[in-house]
Amino acid sequence: MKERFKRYLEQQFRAIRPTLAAAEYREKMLKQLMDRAQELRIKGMDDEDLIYDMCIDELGDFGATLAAFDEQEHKVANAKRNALLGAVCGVGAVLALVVIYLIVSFLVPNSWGLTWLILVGGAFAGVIAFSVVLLVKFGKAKKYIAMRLMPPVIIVLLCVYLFLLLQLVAGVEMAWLTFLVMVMMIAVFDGVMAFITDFKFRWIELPIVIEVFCVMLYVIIGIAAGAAFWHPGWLLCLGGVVAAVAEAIAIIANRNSKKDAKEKVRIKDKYTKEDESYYTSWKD
Amino acid sequence: MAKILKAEMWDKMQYLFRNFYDRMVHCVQYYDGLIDPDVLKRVIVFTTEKVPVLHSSFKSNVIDPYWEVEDYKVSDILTVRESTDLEADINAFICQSIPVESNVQYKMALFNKDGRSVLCMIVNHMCMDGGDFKYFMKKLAENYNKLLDGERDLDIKTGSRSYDQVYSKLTPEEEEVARGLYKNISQVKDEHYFPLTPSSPSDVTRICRRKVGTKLFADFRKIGKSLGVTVNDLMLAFYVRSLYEIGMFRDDERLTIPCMVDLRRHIVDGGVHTGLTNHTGFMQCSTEKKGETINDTLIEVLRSVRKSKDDPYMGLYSLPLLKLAYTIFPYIISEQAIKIGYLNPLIGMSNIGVMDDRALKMGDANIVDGFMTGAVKYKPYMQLALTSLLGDITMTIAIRGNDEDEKIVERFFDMIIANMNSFVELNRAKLGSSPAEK
Repeated sequence: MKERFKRYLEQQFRAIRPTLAAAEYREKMLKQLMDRAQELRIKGMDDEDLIYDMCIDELGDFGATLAAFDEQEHKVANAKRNALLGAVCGVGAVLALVVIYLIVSFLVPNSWGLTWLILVGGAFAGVIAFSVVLLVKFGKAKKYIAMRLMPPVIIVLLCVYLFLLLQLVAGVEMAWLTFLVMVMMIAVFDGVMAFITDFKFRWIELPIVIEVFCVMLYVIIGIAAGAAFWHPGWLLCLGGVVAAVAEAIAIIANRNSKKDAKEKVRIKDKYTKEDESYYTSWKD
Repeated sequence: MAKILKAEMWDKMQYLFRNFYDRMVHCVQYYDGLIDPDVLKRVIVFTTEKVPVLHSSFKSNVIDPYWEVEDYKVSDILTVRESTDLEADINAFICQSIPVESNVQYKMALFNKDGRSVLCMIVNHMCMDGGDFKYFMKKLAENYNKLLDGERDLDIKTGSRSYDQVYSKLTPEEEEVARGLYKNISQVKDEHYFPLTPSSPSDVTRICRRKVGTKLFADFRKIGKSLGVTVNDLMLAFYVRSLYEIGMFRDDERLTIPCMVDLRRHIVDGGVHTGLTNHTGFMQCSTEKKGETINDTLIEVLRSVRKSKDDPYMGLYSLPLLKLAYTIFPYIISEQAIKIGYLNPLIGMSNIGVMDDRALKMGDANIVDGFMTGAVKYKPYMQLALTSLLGDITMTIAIRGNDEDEKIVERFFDMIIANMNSFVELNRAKLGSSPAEK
């Protein structure tokens, strides 16, 4: 039996390149076949020819399997090594940040009240970098829900840090408006992601995003421009409703057009296409 | 100043196992003639002198435990006595335990009755495992025979007891991989347990044993050979199926049994040049279901053990993790850390293997029966140990339990024998067939 399996495999493997990997795969397949033959014997099968046939049959389209094996791309399994390098780099970055923080704090007079922003910035940058890695990873794995959680994390951290810089370093009044912009950015980014990832409810999400954007824009302009804008500026808040209606019109028009085209084809087939069987065929 | 020996990694691990079993390994050998106690004493003194760990006491130092070499007399090790009730004497002897503080770490007894001797031995598992115990008994007989023949070139191995001898047969590349196998394989969540009674103060050490019978063993071994299956695979299948039955586990339940593996397969020359020590790992045997017949159970077992057998690093997992724990922490902390990460298997199997009757012959006295078994497990832990001698297998289960537990174990042995019989009946046609091509 073993010799028969060997002969079969040698013949099959001639279809692909004679690499070391192929030789190892051939050995593996021989073991798999022998193990299966043993199982069939234990189950009570005593016809060796039949055992051979069954084992070979169970391989399915082995030629295709081999072709796929031959074309397979093999990458260096360096995930663990990279993770270790990443961890060490992370520790190095933290250390460097602490050193910079201490140097700046000691060299610049009266700066202790602000230099902590260096540490916070570093921590935020670390989390943002990690979120970007996850974003890419989830994207590649097509785990879109998890992927869409990442941009809000990044935007929130960026906006919080921007607020701290504007408020504490630059002394900008109304720096808190950053948080309103943050909500707008989250909504817009999520809307874009919904379309990029073909989210099932993207057309429902779109007017919601527009509405959130419009409301936030209305509040920001209202605060910045003064009381004169509140009325009739509130009309801006209807942006979402307008978008929803426009979207509904577009969707219905598009659907009608598709249905018309389909109906045209059906009518054309029904009234113009000729077939001899229409003389004799009966439904019963 | 007292001589100090390093406590090796496995010494410490076996010491940790005191929480689960009594750390003794046992052997009983029945002879058809008398063994000369004076010659035996000489061999014992030679062996004990050559292997200092056998006459040392273990010092459980909080930072780094060690062995302290102690003085001893041969009478501390060997007891020679005429026996009136052989089995009672044997049981009384093998059911004792040697404290780690003792000046000697092994004891032997020679019971004589009606012109026949029985040689019994117990040894601290911290000093050696079943693999080296077999070697030890063979060397004992060999050295005894040499002295009887007037030869003086006695011999026992005295090499390194270090755990890392297990890497000696590997290529540098393989060794690098093996030294990175930090995976904790004890963490298999299998909560099936052997149905013993709850622990009670009346529990005593019991070494229950049952012989399979030469005819039955020969039959299933022959069938196994025709199917290309080892005795170990078959015994695992009988054991697993009987566990499903006695434990009344559902037929579709997954059951995982660790099976002890002799790591000397990874050592140059099978470990004949290392010191007497432990080199035991384990492989997991997981069956997804009981299967309709014993043959189906066998297929389940084979599917699982093949994965381990095909793994060039079988049994070498977790060793680097243990080494790391003992290296970076003081002993008292490393023991706690390992206790947290180590799950002692509730049910296990250890196939100690063949006791070579020719190698165990002592003078004119031929070995006619005998067995070896592992440590006495504390409830709820349990392990089946197997030894084969003269074409028969002895199954042993060593537990601390009461009369009811002994009955349960006896019933379990009955189930295993019944499964062996049903395997033979189911495959009777193969008894006449030639072995399968492999």
